[in-house]
Formats: sequence, C-alpha cells, structure tokens
Amino acid sequence: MSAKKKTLERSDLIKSWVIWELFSHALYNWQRLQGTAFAHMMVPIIERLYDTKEEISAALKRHLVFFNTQPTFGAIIHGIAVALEEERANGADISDEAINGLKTALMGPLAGLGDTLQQGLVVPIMLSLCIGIAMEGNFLGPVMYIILLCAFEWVVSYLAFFSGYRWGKDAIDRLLSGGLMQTVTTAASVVGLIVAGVMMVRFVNVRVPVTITTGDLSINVGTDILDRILPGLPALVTTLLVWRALQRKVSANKIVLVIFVVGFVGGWLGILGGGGWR
Amino acid sequence: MVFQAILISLYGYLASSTWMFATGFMVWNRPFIAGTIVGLILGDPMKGMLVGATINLVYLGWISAGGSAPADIGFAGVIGTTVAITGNLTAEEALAVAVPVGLLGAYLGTLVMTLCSVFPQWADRYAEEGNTKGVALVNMLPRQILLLPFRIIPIFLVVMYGGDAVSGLLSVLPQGAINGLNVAGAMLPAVGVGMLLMYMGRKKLMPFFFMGYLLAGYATKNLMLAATLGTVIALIYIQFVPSEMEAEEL
Repeated sequence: MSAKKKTLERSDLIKSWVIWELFSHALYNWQRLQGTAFAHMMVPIIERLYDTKEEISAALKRHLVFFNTQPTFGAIIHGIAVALEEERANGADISDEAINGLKTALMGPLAGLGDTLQQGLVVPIMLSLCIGIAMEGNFLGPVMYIILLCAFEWVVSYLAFFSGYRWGKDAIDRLLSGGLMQTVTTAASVVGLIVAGVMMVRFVNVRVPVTITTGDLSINVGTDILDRILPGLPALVTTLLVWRALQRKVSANKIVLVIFVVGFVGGWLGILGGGGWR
Repeated sequence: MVFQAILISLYGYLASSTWMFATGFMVWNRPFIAGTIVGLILGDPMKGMLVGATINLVYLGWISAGGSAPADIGFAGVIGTTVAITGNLTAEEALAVAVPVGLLGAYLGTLVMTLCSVFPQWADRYAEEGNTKGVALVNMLPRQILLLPFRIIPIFLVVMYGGDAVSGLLSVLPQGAINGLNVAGAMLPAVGVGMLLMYMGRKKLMPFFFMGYLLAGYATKNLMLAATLGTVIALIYIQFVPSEMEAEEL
C-alpha cells in the first residue's frame, strides 16, 4: 500500500471523458478498433495515479488492446475502468486480467444495447420526424435534428461515464471487503473470453475461396470443405497463430507485417478472400 | 467554383473526422444534414435540404457496427446534393448518383482502416517508454491526416469534374491489389484479439474462448446473447470451482 492515498480529481475525470468524446474513433482501424482511443482516454488518469516509468508503461500497455463498443452508452465501461485503475493504484489487488476481462465482457452487450437504442431507434425516429418537417420546406427540420441529436450524444455519454465511475467505486469496495475480487475476475474472464470468441468470428473475416475442379466435380475449399468441418476455421487458425507468436515474444510489429503480406498476396492471387460486410 | 469545391470537400472531411465532438457520425455525416450544409455553400439551401432528405430516406434503417457498413452515407449525401445543385438534377436523379458513390466511399473507408492498422504499433512503442503524450498523439493524428486525401480529393474532383472523374481514379488501381488490401484488413483483427488473449487467456479458461467461437460459427454472432449466456455460464462455473484453485499464473 502506498503511503499517500491517490485520488482522482473531478477535472481528471472530465478530461478523460472529453478525450473519449473527441477521439473515440480517431485511430479507428482493423487491428484494434477503438483500442488506442481507450489508452488515450486513460492518459489523464494514468498521469495522476502512477509515478514510475514501469507503472505508466504497464498501464498504457494494458489499455492498448483490442476494444470496440458503441461509444455513447459504452462510456459506462470507461467509467468503471477508471474506477478500477484508481483502486489499483491505491494498492487494491486488481489484476490486468480483471481489468481487461471486465472491459471485454461489457463491450459486447453495451455495443448491442447502444447500437439498438441509438442507431436503431433514436436516429431513425428523429430523422423521420425532422425529414417530415423539412419536406414541407421548413428549415426547422435540420436545425431541430442537429440540436436534439447533439444534446442526446453529450448528455447520455456524460451520464454513462460518470455513473460507470460511481458504480465501479461502490462495486469494487464491496467486492474487496468481501474477498470476492478473484471470483469476479474469473467470472469476467469467462464472459470476456466467450465474447472475444464471437468477436473473433465477426471481425477476422478471412475465407479460402479456392475452387478445385476435377471433371464435372467442382469443390469450393472454403464453403464445401472448411465450413463443413468448422465454420470460421481460417479466422480461428489465424488468431491462435497470432496468440502463439505473442506468447513467444514475437513483436506485434512483425506479426502485423506478416499478416499484411500474407493477406495482400493471398488476396491478390485469389487464394484468400475476406473483407466485405458481415 | 474552386472555392466552393474546397469548402464542400472540407465539410466532407470534417463530418467524417474526429473533430466534431462525437456528433459527426450521427449528425453531420447524415445526408439530410450534409445536404442542407452543402446547399448553403452552393447558395441553394432549400434544394440541398430536400435532396439530402430524399437521399437520407434510402438510408433510414442504416446501421454501422464495428466499422463495417454497406455504404458511406456521408460521402453519398455530400456528393449527391452537390451534383443535384450544380448539374440541376432532380432529387431522384441525384439518388442514382449518390447510391453508387456511397458504395465507393465504403470501399475507401475499409482501405483507410486497413492502412491505419500500421499505427497502433507506434503507440505500443511509446507505451513501452512510458510516454503518455506519444500514445495520445498517435491516437489523435495519423488517421486524421491520412483521411485528408481520401476525403478531400475525391469530393473535390466530383464537385469540379463530375462523378466520372472518381470512378476513373479508382480504375487505375488493379483489382488484385484492392482484393489484397481487403483480405489484409480482414485478417488484422486477429492481432487485436490475440493481444486480448494475452491478458485473459488463462489455460484453464481457454475452452470458453472456443465456446464463443463455436457459438458464432454455428449459431449466431449476436453479442448480446454471447454476453448474457456467458454470464449464466460464468455464474455456474464459479459455483463449481473452489476459489483457491483459481489463483493460477497466466
């Protein structure tokens, strides 16, 4: 336990929320989606809580992993993660696994919930309403849409972030005093791993569209063979190979390069297929 | 016209960039709003609004999840309203231009996401040094700079020379290279998921990862189901596993 208790100021939390609002998709990419944005959001928190180079480096690295959620409602996760970091910096026994397990377990349902509410409900309803007004030649249509949707985004994400932080603090206190942290870590990892398995099939979208033709018979290796053994097998193989390589301390840089070359050449030659919309 | 073309392409960039405080995607990139603003720039906000609204009706139920979307609606909205006003087309004629342009925009979007998969490694390097400012900078700038030519140039060309200019530009790229980039982009998330496994993939728990994989492969990729079912399974699991056995090294 460190001698002095480290407390986050309200201004740190606001800075963190503002960074998320501004830069959640600033470096959106296939490799980690919002992963770098999550680490960026943590910067004011990390700077306040940790002093040594080792601690700062470890904290940055643990938040630079794959992350993707609906940014508005998903800000609950950010609030919780900030609360976890604060407790951890004050000596609470919260592992890297617990933090990333919780993040991964929560990002799926909040993406589902957020996308349904926002893109599936609020946006189409407000658009129909405001387009209806606009079609009568009234500029109130677009003006109303702009004001209401901006207000919706800012209010909901602010509330989500700060409630996440408060719930996180309460929950952690209760879990720690009950000695339940290890159990929760395990449970979060179980959910996180199941969600990660589904995410893998969704995002690692590689196929083998090779057709073998002998006489009248033509067999598509991807859909006729691989998909019948195990659907999504190329994605699983790729991911497990990457994991193996990371465990053997191969740098992520090299792995990305290899994948890029294999994917590019394979795609050019037509041996591998992928992309498209899933 | 050059000045207006610059303004319109700048708007097209801003609406899809990070600088709109989280409202670009929901507000400024929607054809309804983009059309109104483009109309304002071209001196006919009424027509811009009406054409934008017509284009937007096509995309009313449009949902983007995880970076993949069937169309880039911002691109479609900006270019559709521009050609409607400059070429004096009806809203329906503009729609015929906007829809394929939206597909093209989605194409460019995937390309940008593939190219940007290089940058997280820069952030890794700064994280290794404990350099918080470096991580922040890598997240903020590279993609936004890369986006400039991908957004501004095609929109500028369409405003100046019409839709054919852009399709001409794309036909220069060989189809093989486009396929290659697409496949590379489709494989890259494996790195992100692999890194996640480094944190969560305890040997004893790895069967749950395969459970998720099987669920997605055979049944459904619905994340809500994955998480709720996962919670049920986790609750059962922790009742059967004594807690002292859980403290195991990764």
